[in-house]
Amino acid sequence: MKKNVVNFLLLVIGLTLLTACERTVMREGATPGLRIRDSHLPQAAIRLNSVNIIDPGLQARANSVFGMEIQSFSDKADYIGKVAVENHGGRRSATGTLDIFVVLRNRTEYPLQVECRALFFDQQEVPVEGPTAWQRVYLDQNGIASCNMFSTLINTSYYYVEIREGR
Amino acid sequence: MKKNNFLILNAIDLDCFKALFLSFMFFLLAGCTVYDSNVNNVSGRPTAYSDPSTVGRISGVGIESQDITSMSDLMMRDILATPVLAGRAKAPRVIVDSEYFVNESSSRINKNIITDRLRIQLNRAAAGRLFFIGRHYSHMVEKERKLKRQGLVDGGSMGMTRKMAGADFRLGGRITSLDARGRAGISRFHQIIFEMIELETGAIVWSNMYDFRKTAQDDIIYR
Repeated sequence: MKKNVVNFLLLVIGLTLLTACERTVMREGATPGLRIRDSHLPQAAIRLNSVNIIDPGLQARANSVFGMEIQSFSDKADYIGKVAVENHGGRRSATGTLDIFVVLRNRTEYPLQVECRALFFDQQEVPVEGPTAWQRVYLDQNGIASCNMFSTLINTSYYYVEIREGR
Repeated sequence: MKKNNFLILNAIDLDCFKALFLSFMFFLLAGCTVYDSNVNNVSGRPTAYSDPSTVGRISGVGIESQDITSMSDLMMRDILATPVLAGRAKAPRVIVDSEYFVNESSSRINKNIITDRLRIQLNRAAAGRLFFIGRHYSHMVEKERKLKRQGLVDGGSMGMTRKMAGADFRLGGRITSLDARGRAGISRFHQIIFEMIELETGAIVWSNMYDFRKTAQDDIIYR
């Protein structure tokens, strides 16, 4: 009787292992490109009509407690980096192209140089213009400056601005 | 006698053998010298591509690739947002070349790199809003027109016109600089102006400027 129980248990374990083997994912071929959909990483998604600081030297500090990030975005003063984005937006120029602006404020006590560029998307959120050339902006200590960029096409509806430290 | 001859021959052979052996050793040594030379046989650093819109590893106080990409992009976008140029019902004819774009700065630069890039970017982005005249190719066009009219070649598939196209606007501009040199290094301020001139009245219908100042310990050589 005891021997039968042991044999039965061994069979169950063996079958479980085999089932696991069948369910093991084998990797072959190219990896599909996917976008990240993780509620813990909301900043990983592309947000149109937004200004994004891509340089770690300028980026906002993580809102963390004991080294654990608890909030990805915060407009509290402690969590914003060297440069604050005071305002941004877009309007149509006289020829119908998209004229966008970004107002930046230097939060430090020394002059800063940053560079900005924009990508433009149409109504269907399809990128229709590659990034503009980097535009250098000089920020005095505690001063503000703006970054203005035009699209070349008329059918642009959305923008995506990137900001990095001047190099 | 025969024995003597043999001995002499032997002596000659021995000398020859010695000479040959010595030569062989010299060759060997020479070979060794070649292979033991101090040639740096490591693979070295391969050529690396770098982003032309960013400051490179070798940079000075002159006009560099990041300045050219930035200024041409800025001017192209500004021209296309100007109604007098890009907002007309009928596309105006424009000449963009370096003929009236002068370099009065202390920087050594081929002006064509700026005007060519601006013309290409404008032509691609304008999508019919501006009509570009290749005046710098006028000799080429004139030569072909002459051949057609002499009957040496046929008229092509697009027909012939009485005259070549005239232009409404032409690019002008100037590069100027202000240098300062001291113990701390060298500093150069560049001012690059771009203007679009109406070719009937001489009116300046559009202007823009790109300026920057660079400071470095020393300049580099631009070619």
